[in-house]
Amino acid sequence: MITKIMNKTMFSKFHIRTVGAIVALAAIIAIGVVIAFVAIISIGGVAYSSHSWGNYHWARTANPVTVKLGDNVGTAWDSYLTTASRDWSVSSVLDTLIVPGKTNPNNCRAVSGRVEVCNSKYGNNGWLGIASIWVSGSHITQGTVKLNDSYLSTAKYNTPVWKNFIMCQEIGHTLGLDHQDVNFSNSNLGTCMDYTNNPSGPPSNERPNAHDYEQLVTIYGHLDSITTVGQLALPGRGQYANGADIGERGMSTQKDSRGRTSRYGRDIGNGEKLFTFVIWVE
Amino acid sequence: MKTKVFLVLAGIVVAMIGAAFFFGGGSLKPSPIGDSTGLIVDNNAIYVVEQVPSRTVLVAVVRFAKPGFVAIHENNAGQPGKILGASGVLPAGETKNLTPIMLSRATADGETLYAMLYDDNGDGAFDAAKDKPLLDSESGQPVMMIFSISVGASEPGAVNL
Repeated sequence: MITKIMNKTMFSKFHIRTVGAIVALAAIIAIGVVIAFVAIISIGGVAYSSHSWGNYHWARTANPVTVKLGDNVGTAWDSYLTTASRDWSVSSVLDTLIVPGKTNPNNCRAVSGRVEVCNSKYGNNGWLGIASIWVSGSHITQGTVKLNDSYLSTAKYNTPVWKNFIMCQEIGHTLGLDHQDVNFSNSNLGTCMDYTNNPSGPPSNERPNAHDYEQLVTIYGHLDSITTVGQLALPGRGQYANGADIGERGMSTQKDSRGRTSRYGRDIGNGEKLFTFVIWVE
Repeated sequence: MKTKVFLVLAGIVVAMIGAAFFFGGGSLKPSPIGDSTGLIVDNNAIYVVEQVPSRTVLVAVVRFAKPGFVAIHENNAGQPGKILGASGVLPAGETKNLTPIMLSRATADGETLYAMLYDDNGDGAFDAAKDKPLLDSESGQPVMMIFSISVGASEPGAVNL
């Protein structure tokens, strides 16, 4: 009887220790998996994730496509436009070609099938550079780049480093690229598609990096049945087929948490629709 | 012994949750807007494209350090004049393609307008007597976008700073 009790107790101790060891081992493995997963996500989110801008791209029937850059910039900006054009043309899927500008840099209106690059004193509005694109579906039909000399003519920003950085990034947007990283104060990624307080780095953020070219290959990896390079412009606001002023008559298709419209769907004629999104960052 | 096993197990679970919060929280949280300068000179910024004549104004991008308003001023001898309309209170951070701002009158071809940023005194309602213009950190001038009204204007589908 005593022997039976001792055996039962010893078995129980052995059993409990074994189960405990297995549970502990499983937990350690789980912790490792969690850490690895989080590390992959965080690294990928910064440097290796897609930075396509909404899948927007120039429609074309063959690669490489040549995107024309209208030169509406003053002589102080010419060399930076040339540098950016050369840098983006390193891409295997597209080339950029500087051509005479067709717009007044003060309002920098878009011209169908090309990108107009402009500089002017656009005022104390808080931005150094801005890129705009007009789209039909996911196809870019025209674009503009504005470089704000209200700031870029000041001692703080009137430097080759800042000008290369801004020119490169804004043109990159018109090719369909978004930012690789939007944190201004972390380490530079070595690409102009990375927000930074210090574009000189190191590494320098004045030019595209390999991941930008890889992203362009991804974006332009397919061919389209049409081309938007050199196509007619979409009608502007107030110029739609049904005569509607879209600012007043765009249909609300989505409300935000405060009940405000966050998405409008607009029929702009010819079977095309323009969606305007309100994106809440906070 | 069962108590010991339970305690060990609980400790491991707590460690796992802690690790997940530690690594996840440190790496995945969005960067605060206070970090932003660079292409955005300041945390207060605005972009308005050339507009066609209308009773509304479309603001493409606006960015606030704190909640605030966009007010549309008419031109008075090259300076911002009478206020024609204002947005509802907008949150801190960046907002794209906000709801069109209704104006008290239709704009005219060739006209120049000003879209100016104002702070919110906390009541969530725009009042030009109580809410003050936000000043640009570089120039000390009100943050505003001067834009023109033209029948030939064309609205972009998307903008990116």
